[in-house]
Amino acid sequence: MKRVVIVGAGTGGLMVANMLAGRLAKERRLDTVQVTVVGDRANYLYQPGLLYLAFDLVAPGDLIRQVGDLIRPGVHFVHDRVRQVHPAEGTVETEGGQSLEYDYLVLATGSVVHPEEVPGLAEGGHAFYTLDGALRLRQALREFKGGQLLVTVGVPHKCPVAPLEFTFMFEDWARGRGIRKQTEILYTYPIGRAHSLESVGRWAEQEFAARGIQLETFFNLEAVDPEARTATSLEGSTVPYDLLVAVPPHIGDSLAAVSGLGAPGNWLPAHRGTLVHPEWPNIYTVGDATDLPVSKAGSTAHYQAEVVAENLMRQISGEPPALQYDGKAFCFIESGLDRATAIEFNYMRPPLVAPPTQAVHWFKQAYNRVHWLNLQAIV
Amino acid sequence: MKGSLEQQESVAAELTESQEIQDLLAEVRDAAPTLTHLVRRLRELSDSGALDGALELVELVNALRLSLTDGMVAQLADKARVGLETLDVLMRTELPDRLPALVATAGAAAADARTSRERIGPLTLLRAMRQPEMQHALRYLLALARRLPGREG
Repeated sequence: MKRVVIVGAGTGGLMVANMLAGRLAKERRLDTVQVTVVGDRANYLYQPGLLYLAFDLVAPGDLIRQVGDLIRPGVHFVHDRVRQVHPAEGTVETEGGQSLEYDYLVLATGSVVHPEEVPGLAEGGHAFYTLDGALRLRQALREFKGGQLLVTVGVPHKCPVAPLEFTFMFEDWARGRGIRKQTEILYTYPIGRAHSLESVGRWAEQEFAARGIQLETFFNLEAVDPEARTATSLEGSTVPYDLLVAVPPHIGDSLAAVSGLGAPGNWLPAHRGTLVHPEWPNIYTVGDATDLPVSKAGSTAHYQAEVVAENLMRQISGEPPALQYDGKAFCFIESGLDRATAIEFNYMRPPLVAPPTQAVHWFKQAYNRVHWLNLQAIV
Repeated sequence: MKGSLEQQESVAAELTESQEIQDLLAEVRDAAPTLTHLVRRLRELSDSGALDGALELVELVNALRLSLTDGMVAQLADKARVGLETLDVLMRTELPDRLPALVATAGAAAADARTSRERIGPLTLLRAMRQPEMQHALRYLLALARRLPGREG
């Protein structure tokens, strides 16, 4: 029997598991393949929805489902945390004391926010990258009557356009609440433009200019003073705020370092095409956890999961992994509360930003509801 | 300024002498009625907002296209195929004809059960089993159970 163990029950892990379950149904019935997912959370959170939660556009219950309900029949789910991978022995060791053997391992351990890197940020700022953070921000927005919104961005972070989306949605939201005139919006970014993707940065700067949003570049948040309500950058700029929304820097799961598999930042190295670990040909990485020069986004995890599932199936049947991931990512960009655009790019082709439309915004709204089907590999 | 005018006149002369441009101008002349109609329609569509709506749909279709991969298209096509094959099998049975009646029967039975005050005990069950419609239902259930796959011999 070939044993596939997938560490992580987030987007990448679930998609790989369910894709394999669907395509290896016969092998599972004959007990020649076993697929196991090990995840430390019993619930799956649809993270792109947190942005909408902050603006009271969805409820928390809309974003959460039990992992057990999202796994196809025949996939084993172990609710536990993997403490360490032993690649030489082909086992993973869990905090619950289990030792699971594998023939193939998929590391889908994601990324985590790390606000502790910035003193004062946890006390003085808001972030919509966790459920608790989004709920706190929702409350802050409910109480916001005007003033200075300051948006700061730490890199790397998941969902590369989310800070822009928040800013544009906030601007629309403030107009709708009748408080735009008494609200100043300052968006900051660590490098010399509004976004790491050049075309997105250019487009965003035009939108900022048209909508009266201020931009300060070369702003790397160093510290927050919650009492004085100021944020200071490494570059020496100190900015006051009434509402600070910060995208904290992210790091990879500690499993990478503990297991001796990782790279700086706890990211996991992977071949840019096959997504196989450079030292262990039976270990794949998928999603946020990789150190690849691609955006950390749900769509990236999805496209990578397709490649990993296909390559795993080939390896299981004795063929080499031949399908290559081309760096594809697809991101919606909400540019307000009722319009959006979308960008698609890969290793070779940068994104082009089309004018935002209501139709693409509706596409995003529909996708927010259809995502559960993707997770279960139904479509 | 004068130099610029001279340059412009020189470019214009070159263009009008070019065979390609002359052919293009002739085509435009021949297509004048169609072009006039198109321009008029485009203006109407633009004034009504429909042109913007159509262009939005173009953006939507493009976004959909960009979001897909070969694998996804193959999977969607497979799903559609399996779905249609399953539907086709169902449609060749009596199910489509019988389904409305079955659903109505189930609904009526549920209503009967809700309003009935009859106490069901062993004697009631024994009496019920002798009734012809109960015999029919039990025969059907037994026949179904005997034909179910995966039963142990």
